[in-house]
Amino acid sequence: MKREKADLFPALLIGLMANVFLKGQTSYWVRPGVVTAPLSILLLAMVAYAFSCCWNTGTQGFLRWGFAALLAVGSALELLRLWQLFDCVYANSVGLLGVCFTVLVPVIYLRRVSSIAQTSNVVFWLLVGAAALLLVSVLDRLRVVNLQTVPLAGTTLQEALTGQLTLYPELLLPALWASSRSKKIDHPARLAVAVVGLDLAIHLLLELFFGAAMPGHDNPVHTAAQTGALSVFNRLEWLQLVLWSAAVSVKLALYLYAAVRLVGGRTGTTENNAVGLDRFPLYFVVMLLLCVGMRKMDLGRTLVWHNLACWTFAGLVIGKGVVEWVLSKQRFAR
Amino acid sequence: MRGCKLSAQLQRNIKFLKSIFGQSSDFYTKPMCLSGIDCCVALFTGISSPEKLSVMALDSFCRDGVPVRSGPALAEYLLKESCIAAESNPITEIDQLVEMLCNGMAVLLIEGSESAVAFSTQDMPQRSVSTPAGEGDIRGPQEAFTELLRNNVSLIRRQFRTSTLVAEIHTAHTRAGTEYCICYDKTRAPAETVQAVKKKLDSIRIPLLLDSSYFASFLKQDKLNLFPAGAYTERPATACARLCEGKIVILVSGSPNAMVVPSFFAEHFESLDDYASGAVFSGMIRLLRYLAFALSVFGPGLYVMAVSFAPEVIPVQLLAKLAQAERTTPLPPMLEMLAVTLLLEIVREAGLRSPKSISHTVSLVGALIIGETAVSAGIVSIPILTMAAAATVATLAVPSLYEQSILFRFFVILLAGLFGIPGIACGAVVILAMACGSEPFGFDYLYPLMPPGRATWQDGFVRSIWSQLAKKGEVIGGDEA
Amino acid sequence: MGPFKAAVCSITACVCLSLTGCGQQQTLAQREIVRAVFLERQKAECKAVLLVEDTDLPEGESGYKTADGTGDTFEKAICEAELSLDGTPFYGLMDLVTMPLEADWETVTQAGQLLYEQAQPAPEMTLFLLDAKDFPLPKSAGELYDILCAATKTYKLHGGLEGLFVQQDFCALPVWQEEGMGFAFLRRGQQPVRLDSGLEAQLAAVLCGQIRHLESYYAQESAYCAADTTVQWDAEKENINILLHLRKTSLADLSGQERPQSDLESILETELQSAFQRLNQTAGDIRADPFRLNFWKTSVMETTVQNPLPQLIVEIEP
Repeated sequence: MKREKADLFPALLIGLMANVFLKGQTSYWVRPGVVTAPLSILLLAMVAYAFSCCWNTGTQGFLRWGFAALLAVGSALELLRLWQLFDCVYANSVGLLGVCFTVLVPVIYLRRVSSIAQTSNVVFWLLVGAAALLLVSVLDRLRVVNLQTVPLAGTTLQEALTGQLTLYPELLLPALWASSRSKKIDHPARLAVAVVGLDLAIHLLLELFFGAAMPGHDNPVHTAAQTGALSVFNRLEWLQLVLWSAAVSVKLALYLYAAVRLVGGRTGTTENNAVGLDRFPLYFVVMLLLCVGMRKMDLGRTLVWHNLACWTFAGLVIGKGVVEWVLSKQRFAR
Repeated sequence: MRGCKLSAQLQRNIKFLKSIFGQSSDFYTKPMCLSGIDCCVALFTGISSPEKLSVMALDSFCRDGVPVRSGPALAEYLLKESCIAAESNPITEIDQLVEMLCNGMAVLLIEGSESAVAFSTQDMPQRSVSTPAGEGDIRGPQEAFTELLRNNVSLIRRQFRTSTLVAEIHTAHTRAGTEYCICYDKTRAPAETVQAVKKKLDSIRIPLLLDSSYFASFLKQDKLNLFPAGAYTERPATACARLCEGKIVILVSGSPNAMVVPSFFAEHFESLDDYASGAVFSGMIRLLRYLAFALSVFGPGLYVMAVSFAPEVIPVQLLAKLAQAERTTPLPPMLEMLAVTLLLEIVREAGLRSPKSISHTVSLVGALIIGETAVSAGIVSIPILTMAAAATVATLAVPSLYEQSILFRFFVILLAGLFGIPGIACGAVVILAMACGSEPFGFDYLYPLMPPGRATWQDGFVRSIWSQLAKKGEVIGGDEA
Repeated sequence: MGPFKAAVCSITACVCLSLTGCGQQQTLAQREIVRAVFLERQKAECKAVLLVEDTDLPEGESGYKTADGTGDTFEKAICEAELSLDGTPFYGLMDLVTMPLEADWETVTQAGQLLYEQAQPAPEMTLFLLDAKDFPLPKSAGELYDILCAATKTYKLHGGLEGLFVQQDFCALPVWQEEGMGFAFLRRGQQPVRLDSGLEAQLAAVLCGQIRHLESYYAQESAYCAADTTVQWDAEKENINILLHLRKTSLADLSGQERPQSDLESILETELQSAFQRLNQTAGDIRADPFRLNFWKTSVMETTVQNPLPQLIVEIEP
């Protein structure tokens, strides 16, 4: 009844779900994916945990700004990805500015931490329901024999590992607000399991549906959703699109909150805001400029670069943390 | 005038009162002599009854006499020793005197005494207790609040017959000095919430307070949030039910609507009949209300989105009919839907504001013009009209969220018509964020619906049987009280 | 300018900007709802016929109109056909595509890919290879559409555009001729193998998972069977059993001899077994795997088993 301390874990989960559902293309086959999944989970969890530990040992201004920049670019990429999906599915119906407007306006109402937390609770369960609906609607068209018996060779395993080792910013964000040691371990582990597990499950669904044609499809989850039918209700993919847009809004609100924490934005004291209302015009302008500037880029390649940037950034922070730890040990020894 | 004491000189006090109220023809003063001491009765004849005063006090004075010899002694006798039903606190300040007179009390000014004595002789013309006009319930008490504050308090006290009910009357900081009453159960309402409400209401400065809803804007945490800060009820029974949940009921003098704070989203979908009917039926009806709300907010928008952006959603047989209908009308679907919705609202508003003698005509004209003529002339199409009418009717299933439904509906139609599916998503997230972000006095606005728990199925989306409800009724201060 | 005013100005500017890129929706009246695409090849030329829902008819009536185009490629033919329409073609409700009877694997997959890219329809449509000489287009397009939709319902056809690509070098499609429904195997680099209408073609379609109802003459057209089908795969270490369940089976003796039910069932089973053998032979000849036996072989069976012969087990339930 009384609103408890806001838990942003569902918001992080939503961000990861949006990443998986909106992926432009599949990146590996299920068989090698199952083999590499435990290793991927372990690596991601370890990196996230190490980042979380090293982040709190006195982070400098340029690292904060770097993280904020990563989040800003990530937000713009999400908007562009959603726009491309809409443009592909409903050509010429809504422009980039329209998508930006409809996704960014709800962020105003998600400026409080408690609002993000509670809204993400609702959106999370709606996404789970929609995913179940998607599964039930295409169940008829899933064939076990569509699973590809690819050999577990070096290339396929490498592809699977590369596809699974995507360091999403959601895995690094708990470092900003995890206070206790147990949360520092718990959140990254759960998030790593969630993202790799969900990614694998979606790949499985898609392979059962598309068979050998899986790698060649753009927006494969949406294409599969298009065939879904439940009783007299056909073409339920619009429901998925609505929820995915909602998930992106929540994700962007979380990124904005994290960015404000990083670069120290002014918060309103009377309304317990996480982000002050006066920051929004700047936020909208920055997002619009980034989207307009990046819209001509190859989105797939840009996402790969963004992933590399996240890995580099995490490596930098962890490296700095390790160096500081070694130095502190030496000082202590003297 | 604030803080000025009453004078010991009777004439001076009378002169002062006449200088303030002398121009009002309902201001009445009657000099008299009690046990040889000069006194004067002052009252407003419209709201106080001289006959009551005679019966209460003056006859007794004349019959029994008063064994005192000075003004202060007379005041002391009336306040502390006499059986006459005077107010127990003396009036010592001018603004207190004015307040008492304006509240319908009769005041006895005494020569030589700096205190005056007030008698409760209110006799205002008032509406009798009737059935509630705005809340339709089949079962349960059919009484409604009236405009008189003390009547309303008594109606609550009649239902809530325990010593734990507290009804504190305060005067609002308005030009008219309107009174309001804060009612709560001192064992159930969280103390900090009560204090917060009191403090908030006391800090409000408005020129006029004609209804409890005037407080709403001040109690709202986020001014951009369109969901109401409080729930309203005309029924004392409902108010009592909310008191039992640990909530606070605010009554305002002159208004038959009580405000309940903190209010939750789920309350708008509850009614007294839910608890009088069987659990299964009540659960079904409650789910129907949620569905009706969703239909009223999103129905027209989804229709506009489907016909404009995603026709594949519509079954093909219906699609052909819609295309034929659309061909005959001049406006695009979004504008047509907005126009029809606006027209329906105009008809509703006209029906509400028009005098009773012509409201029937308004309904007839509205139905004929919109329902028959506009369709025949090809100005609006039948599918759009059907959807808009269905949404309007669905809105009435949840009347307490009527304003929000209308606003959200326009908002969603606009977004869906301009942006299609992302527009619907935007509307849905904004509405959800408004609901999720609301924190009335620190409580979760979506309680008990989200996060899902035992309470969600006990008395949230559906209602469990009374034997289960009776085991552990939900009280907002249950953890703290 | 105070921060609040700046916020309002910025938001207003954003709203204005955003409104410039929106509102490009089309009304239903402007859309031409395409229900089916018929692709034909006439010598060297490609022809495309679009069957469109006719929304200009008076209220209460429904019907179709057609738009056709020709070109060197199917893409050009479809473009030509689209240009001849008054409004913008809308493929979201398209549920039937037919391709030329003689089309090979390359042609069929190219046409499928074209539809994915250009039309972006839902993949849940039905595909047929059509013998166009029996059904002159575009004259009989509407009637043909109704016939094929009825056949889809009768045979509980579950094809889908995605079905063309589930295997890398192979696809199987139902064929529609005057005699009824047949089936075809299409393998990359090979001539298409057509199975004429009858028990063999329908058995192939059932085992490929494309239909769930079998309805055919057998025993030299002296008997008739109709049944709902389910297929179960039972792969063990050394062999593969395919369990074909015929449910709600209705067998009719057309010879006039009033043979008992058990005789009809045994004749049916025998014919199904021999049809199955022929299908295996045909698949082996074109080195195709229409029944996805390789999946079971790789996943379940011992690697030492080289070419296991699948066994068909038929269960007939009344």
